[in-house]
Amino acid sequence: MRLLAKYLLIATFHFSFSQDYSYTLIPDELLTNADAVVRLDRMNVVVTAQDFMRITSKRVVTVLNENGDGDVHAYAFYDKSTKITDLEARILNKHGEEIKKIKKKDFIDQSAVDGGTLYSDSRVLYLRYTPTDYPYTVEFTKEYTTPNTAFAPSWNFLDGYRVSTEKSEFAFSMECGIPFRHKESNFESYPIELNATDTEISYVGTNLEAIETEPLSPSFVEFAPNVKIALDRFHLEGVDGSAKNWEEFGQWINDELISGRDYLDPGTIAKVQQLVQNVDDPQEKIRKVYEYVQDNTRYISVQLGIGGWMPISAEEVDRVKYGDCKGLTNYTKALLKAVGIESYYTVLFAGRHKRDFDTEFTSMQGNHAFLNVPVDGKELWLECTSQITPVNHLGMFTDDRNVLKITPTGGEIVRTRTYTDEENYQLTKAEYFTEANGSVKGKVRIVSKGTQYDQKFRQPSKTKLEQEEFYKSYWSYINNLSLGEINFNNDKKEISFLEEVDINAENYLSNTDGKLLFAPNLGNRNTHIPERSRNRERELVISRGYLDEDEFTIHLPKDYKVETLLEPILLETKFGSYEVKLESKEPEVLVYNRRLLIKSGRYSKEDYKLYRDFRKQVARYDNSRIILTKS
Amino acid sequence: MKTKLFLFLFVGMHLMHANEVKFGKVSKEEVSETQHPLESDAHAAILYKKERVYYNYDYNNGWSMMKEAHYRIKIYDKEGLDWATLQVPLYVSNGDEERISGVKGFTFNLENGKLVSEKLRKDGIFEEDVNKYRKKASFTMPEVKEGSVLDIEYRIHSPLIGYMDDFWFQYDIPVNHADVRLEIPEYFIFKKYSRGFYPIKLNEFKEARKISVSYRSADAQGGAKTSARTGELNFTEYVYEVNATNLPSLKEEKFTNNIDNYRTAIKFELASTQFPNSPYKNYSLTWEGVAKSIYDYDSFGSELRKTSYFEDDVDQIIAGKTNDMEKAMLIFEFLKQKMTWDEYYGVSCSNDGVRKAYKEGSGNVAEINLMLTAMLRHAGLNANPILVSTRSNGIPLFPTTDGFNYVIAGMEVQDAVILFDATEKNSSPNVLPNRALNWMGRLVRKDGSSSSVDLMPKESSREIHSIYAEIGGDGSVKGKKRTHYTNQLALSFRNMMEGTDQDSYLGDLENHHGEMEISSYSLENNDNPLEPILETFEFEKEDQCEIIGDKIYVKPMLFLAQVENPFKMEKRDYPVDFMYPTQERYMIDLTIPEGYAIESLPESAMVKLPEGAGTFKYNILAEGNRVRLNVSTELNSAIFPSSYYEALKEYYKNLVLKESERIVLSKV
Repeated sequence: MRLLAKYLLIATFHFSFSQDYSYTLIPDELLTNADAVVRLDRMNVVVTAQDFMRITSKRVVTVLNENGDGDVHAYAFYDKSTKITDLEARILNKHGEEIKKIKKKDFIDQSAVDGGTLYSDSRVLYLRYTPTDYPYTVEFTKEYTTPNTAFAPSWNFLDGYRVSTEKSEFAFSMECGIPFRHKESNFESYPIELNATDTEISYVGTNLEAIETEPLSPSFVEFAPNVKIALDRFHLEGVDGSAKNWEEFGQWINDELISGRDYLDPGTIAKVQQLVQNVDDPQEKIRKVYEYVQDNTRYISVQLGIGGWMPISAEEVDRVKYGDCKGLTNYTKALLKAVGIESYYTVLFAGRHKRDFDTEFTSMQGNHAFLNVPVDGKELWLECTSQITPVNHLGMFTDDRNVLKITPTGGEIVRTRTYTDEENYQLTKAEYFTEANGSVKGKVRIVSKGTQYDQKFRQPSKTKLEQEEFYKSYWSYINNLSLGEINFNNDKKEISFLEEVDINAENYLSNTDGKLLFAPNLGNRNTHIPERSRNRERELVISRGYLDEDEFTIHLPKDYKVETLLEPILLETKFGSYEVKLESKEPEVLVYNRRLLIKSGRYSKEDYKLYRDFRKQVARYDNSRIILTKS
Repeated sequence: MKTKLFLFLFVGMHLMHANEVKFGKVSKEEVSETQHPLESDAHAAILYKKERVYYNYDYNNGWSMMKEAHYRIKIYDKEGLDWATLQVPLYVSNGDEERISGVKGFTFNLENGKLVSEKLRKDGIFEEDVNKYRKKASFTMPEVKEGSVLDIEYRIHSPLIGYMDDFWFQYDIPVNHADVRLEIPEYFIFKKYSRGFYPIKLNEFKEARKISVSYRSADAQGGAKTSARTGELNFTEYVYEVNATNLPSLKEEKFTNNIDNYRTAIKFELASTQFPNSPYKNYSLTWEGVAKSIYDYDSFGSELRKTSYFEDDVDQIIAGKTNDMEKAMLIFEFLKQKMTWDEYYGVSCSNDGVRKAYKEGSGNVAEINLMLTAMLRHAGLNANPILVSTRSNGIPLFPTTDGFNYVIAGMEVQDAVILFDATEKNSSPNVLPNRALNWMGRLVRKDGSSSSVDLMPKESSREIHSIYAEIGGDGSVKGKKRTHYTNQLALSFRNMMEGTDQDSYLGDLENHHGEMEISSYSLENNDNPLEPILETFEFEKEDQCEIIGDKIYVKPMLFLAQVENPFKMEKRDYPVDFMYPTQERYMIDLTIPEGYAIESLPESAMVKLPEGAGTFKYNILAEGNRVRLNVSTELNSAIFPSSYYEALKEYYKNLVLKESERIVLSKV
């Protein structure tokens, strides 16, 4: 009898939750700009111990077209400590009727080692389904347990661009009395309900419309609603921790993950001390040690268990001479210590798109580590995974963002170096000779600094073929371009890169009825125009500015003179300025001067069109041609 | 006298072995070398590579294959550091898996002029289950820096005795010397095929070999007792030795089919086996043999013979139809709608087979196109499967079983074969997806006989652009455009439109043509692959023409002019592959602004590629205030050998130059 009751209970339970996911029930406003609609996204997180968390989720996605196939997210990662206890998927047709059921054993089991990593124990179970008709719906249920409460799940009420959400439910429950914190972001314009007690917090979001992508816009996390959760006492791969603020969190990283991992054998210490013998300038010492690391190590990533967060010991790196960002950073720190220079392990979000550590919310964050070295009242930064980056060159990978600096007395959020628009500088000087037969021949010298240095300083290590490809695409508007000698000078101290390229091209000047037409801007045209953005809804963001200056000396063919010179151009806008001048210095010699400044910043959405107009004008003037006639 | 002879022999033998590269014996010269003697910009080089394959026999497990490898790698600069990590695939098949052992490695460096070495330890060796079919071993070497020389060796024990990966002699970095030696017992017959541009030397000879085999056998009395015995197996081995020296690095170029087609390599493919007291077994010898053996797979031939699952559906579709082509088209369209390709390749059906695939509406390429073949046959048409090697699989120069990885269907009519591929929703008869446009396929008939079929489209794919436009006095242009695409070009267009909504396509198109405003857009036949794509729209564009002084300079092809030569590099090693022959035509009618007169026109011109391989014609004429332009380009061949590169580059140079010429308009 008891058995039957239980059976009935299960049956009812099942029945009451058997939802209708017919496509026709989706509200119209959720279909606009959407490739997929998340019908239900529900996650329950239950923490039963500092080192035990159970996560149960159900996700139902209706895919509207093939661009939405990737929004199903029917996969589950696992490793030695994260265990998948339940996994199932059901495929429904557009009427919401089941057409296929996929059990855990039918998911594909595959290694989840990403491209940049040599080895890790991370694996993934994923659903491979070939949709035969659109729309279709996937209902995906998953349950897993993990001891790593340091990563309490965060929650996004919208998946990303072009995906709407019908219902999003997130519940977090603390069953072992550990205090926890939560932070809601970008809730303002969304109807999300929040219910909180001391031990539980839950959110329900309903009918969140899809957001369309826009060029040069703020990043998605800046405006999409999300929740972050963190425990004051947590666990990570066998290591307990506690922290309520960044200072304590940094202290924990220092004490548990970094401290004591900087031992080096006396031989190595002697070697590095000898390296800086007779060097008094601390900056010079840092440079010597850093270059020693660059010349002797390489980046190899192996992530196992706590090794995903704890650097391999300096001693180990010293033996094998490779490591990941953590290992190489810690190794460099140990070598600097051996020559009496204190430095600080720093955790951050690296990447071209600037991403800050959340100053107000302390939790596990970041995807990279590098080294902070305060010296002579300055903060120097060392990127220890690169064999060629100069001292204190951050480039677009690590510039201008909030990062977590770990010191023996705790953590501290600091901001990395910001390059001003003018520091991202390029100067192009060229002298070239034109001929009546249309050919041009000359030498171009380009100096690049700041983030523009980033784009150039790898040139010397490329093969000749790659260099040829690079310059032929850099000057793709010069047809029939041939390259002569190419020379580089990488001034790592000044962080300035010089390219000298001999060029010549046939038919650069076109002959129309005995007149020669050509564009005096041969060396540096900025013809890219940001794409049109109809019904712009968000701000314009120019995340990095730059300054280009150009000076070209142009020798005209013998016996030719200019019929029409360019009118001098000066465009001043809030986004920057553009200036061009073409002057006749002496007979048969013209001098072309150009200056383009693009200012980083955030501008109103209405400004997008104005910015585009500015870039259109720049492109047009850069392509402008002049006419020569026979004198 | 005797002593002398002995000495002489000794010296002779010593000399013979002087070239042999011994593991762990790295010279100072190798480490101190700072750049590759032949390719100064090489980041790394394979100084030496040795592979040896031989067989073992053991009483319980039978034959197994052993592969030994030795790599000596030189790192010249920091960009070459990636070569300090090696990854070795290990195959898994039906519970049998390859195992790696004996991994040894040393890194050699010079320290204060002295040669020092560092050993690869366990912590630098990783094994990983990639998926059900493959494992992977990775090694990363310690103490590697600019100049380091790495010596690495390992062994793979393989129960998959009939399969060997290709032996490569060419990589992204130069190879100084490579030796391959295979010792194959007489019971296995392998065919060997070499490819690539650089000659390799192959020696073949026989050697006698003896293996002692321990086994337990029942005692003569026939009791339960067994005793250990040792027997001897005597047989002949075929020895193949391949030596190659100074192979340049392999570099990817634009418009290249699969680069592996040009890589210098040698392939050994099991052709037959003949074990003592067992029948002779043939695996593959000729294309006919390969086709036959694939046809004999249960997952091919018997799947092809199944018909009951679709009969009702097909009968209904073709009821009352008598025309063969009409029947074929109805079936083809039906199946394309019914089935979705799961993007798996292969010449055999999955375990699920055609029946289940049909029910679920998705399947692999063999399932879908064998289904199609069976349906066409059921309708009384002369249809057969055609085995294909996709572009990603490389050109099948030699008959090997893995030379094919794809199936299409062919219908024989009079003296032609019409090709069908139902995995591609936008395809039509004789218009195959690009992946299948690779050289020759093999058509297999019901009796297992086969013949080769050219997969290259015979008909040129065409694009025709007509423009009727007015030039404004401000340099703007306003007009109508009509565009046709046929065959492969139409297929590419349809595939591009799939998953793109019209608005974003128009946005891209506007950007592509440089800031144009498009209106009154219409698209016809996008859902009907049998008809050409027809696109029409009206456009307006500012700044199309240059105004310098009081003159307007107009490119008569407007925004359709080709402005860049696709061939920029000075030289080229590999054939240029455009995939299919094409014809482009531009008919442009321009009205000049009021108050202007035509001061000059570009001249009409024609450019030809040698041997009629291509023609560019440019005809222009003015009539009152109108200019009419007629431009055509034809590339009659899809593939041009590298010796043609200069001619192609010159052809495009002239084309780009001509198309960039301007009409000059001056104020009246």
